[in-house]
Amino acid sequence: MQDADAAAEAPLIARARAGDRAAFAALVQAHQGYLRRLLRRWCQGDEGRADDLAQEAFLKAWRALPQFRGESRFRTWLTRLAYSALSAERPRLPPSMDSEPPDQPVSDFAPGTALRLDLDRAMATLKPRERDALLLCFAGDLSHAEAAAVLGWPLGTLKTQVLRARAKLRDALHAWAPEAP
Amino acid sequence: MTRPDFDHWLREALHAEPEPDDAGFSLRVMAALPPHAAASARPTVAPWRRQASALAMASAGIGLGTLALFASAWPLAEQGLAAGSLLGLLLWWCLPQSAGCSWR
Repeated sequence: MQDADAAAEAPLIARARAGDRAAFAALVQAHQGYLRRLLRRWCQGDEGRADDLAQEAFLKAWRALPQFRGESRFRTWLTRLAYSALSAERPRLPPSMDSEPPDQPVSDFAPGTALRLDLDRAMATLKPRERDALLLCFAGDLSHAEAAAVLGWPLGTLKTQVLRARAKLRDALHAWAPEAP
Repeated sequence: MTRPDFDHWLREALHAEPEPDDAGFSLRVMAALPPHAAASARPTVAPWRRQASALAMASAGIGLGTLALFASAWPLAEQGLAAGSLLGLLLWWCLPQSAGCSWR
């Protein structure tokens, strides 16, 4: 399926590489939902910041497209650009922005609110490296190899971080997954 | 709950929120795009490389011209000039390629 998607968008990428703005617009439309949702998770619900980072990633992609060799999926490459933008911004953020759960009023009557709050709190207890690895593999649907490439880590390191993150979440979310040992 | 079950549950929980609608985001990105991706990403050649290649070409031209003018005068000089010309041509052809540039 992923190969089929990559093959389908290869002509678009080729046209965008040649400077075709319409083709690039189609790529933006195809991937904006995925990237913005992932970045919102990364930014712990800060939609404005997430959208700014997504825009920066797309602008980087436009500038760097002629160097894109197609060795990875376009989505993986785009995610790497977004992570790079996020990493560049992180040192300027106050620590609370990157370690505390969001403190936003959420209606208790919204469906899934309790699960989302518990999940957000559990995610906030993870170390940044664990959270990054877990989000890429579970929210971003990247393979371990793709996530390792995005983060610039060895594959073994990525797997270790995912395992640790998953174990912590299983402990924190046992109420939602009662049979978990 | 087994590990695959938990993984599936976690993946679904993280995907519980739908992907955001475009709501003008694509237009915002397109409005911020610089004019030409291909132009901005074209490999640039350092000025010194251009100057070096021009100098090498000029040397090769002068050498060849001198050779043509004084072909029978000094055999040794001929050889030196021919070597200089060849060296100039070598530089001309090799310097840009060594940087991976295809600007010629």
